[in-house]
Amino acid sequence: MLLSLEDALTILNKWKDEFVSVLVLGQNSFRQGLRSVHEGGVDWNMRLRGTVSQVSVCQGAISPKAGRVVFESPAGNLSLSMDSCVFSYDAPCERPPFFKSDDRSKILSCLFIFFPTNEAFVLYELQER
Amino acid sequence: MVISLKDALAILRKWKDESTNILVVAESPFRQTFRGIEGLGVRWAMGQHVRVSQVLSSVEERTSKGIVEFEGRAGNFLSLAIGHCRIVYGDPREASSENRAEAEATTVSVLSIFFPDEEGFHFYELREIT
Repeated sequence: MLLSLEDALTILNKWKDEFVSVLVLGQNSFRQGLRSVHEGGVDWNMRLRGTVSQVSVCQGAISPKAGRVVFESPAGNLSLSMDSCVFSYDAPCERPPFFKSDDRSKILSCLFIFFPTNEAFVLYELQER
Repeated sequence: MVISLKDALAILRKWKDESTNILVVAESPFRQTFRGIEGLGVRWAMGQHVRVSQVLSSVEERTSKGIVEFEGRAGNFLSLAIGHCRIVYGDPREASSENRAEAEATTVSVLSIFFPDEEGFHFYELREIT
């Protein structure tokens, strides 16, 4: 289901307020879907498990309004400036095929963030078992 | 100093063998210096403490040449296919005068990897604190 920026920010704010555990996968390029660098056509993958710590609205460089989100984990952080992005939300959704199964958590939903530059980030809402 | 893929992989293998503690700071697009997520046009920025977990150099020319993987705490992970990147190796003495003292106290070297799509990943070899 495609979402507006406002809807995506609502979901991110909910995850922030509820201290939801989030798995973030980032990738460039996303032309062929979620893949690992070993499969070719992908420059980089990143994975960060943490929580949403900040959500805000800011001036975009491309569009007048952009969203900003910060994820924090015990060993790092990731910030996204969502300017002219496309958002897609799925619940339930599947774990990506190249990641090992993790019995400690269950995926409840996922939010896809597609940048105009072919970078993409997939945010998985996790429920600890 | 710009270095070859072969030299970069040698450094990364050494870091893997020595389980070197690395701070990776990355930004897209990267322009000369870090601007942070509030910089105009910056799409994403990240920082993580990691170690090198795998270095592959010649599995298959088109897919796995120059792949390096990093692992951090809590399952954090980063993998890069660096075969087509510009790679720069530096040491803290090259830092700007205002940052040099801190850079020399905390880091041994930095490996900067620039992708054609303008992402810049900077891997700081952290000095062991004794």
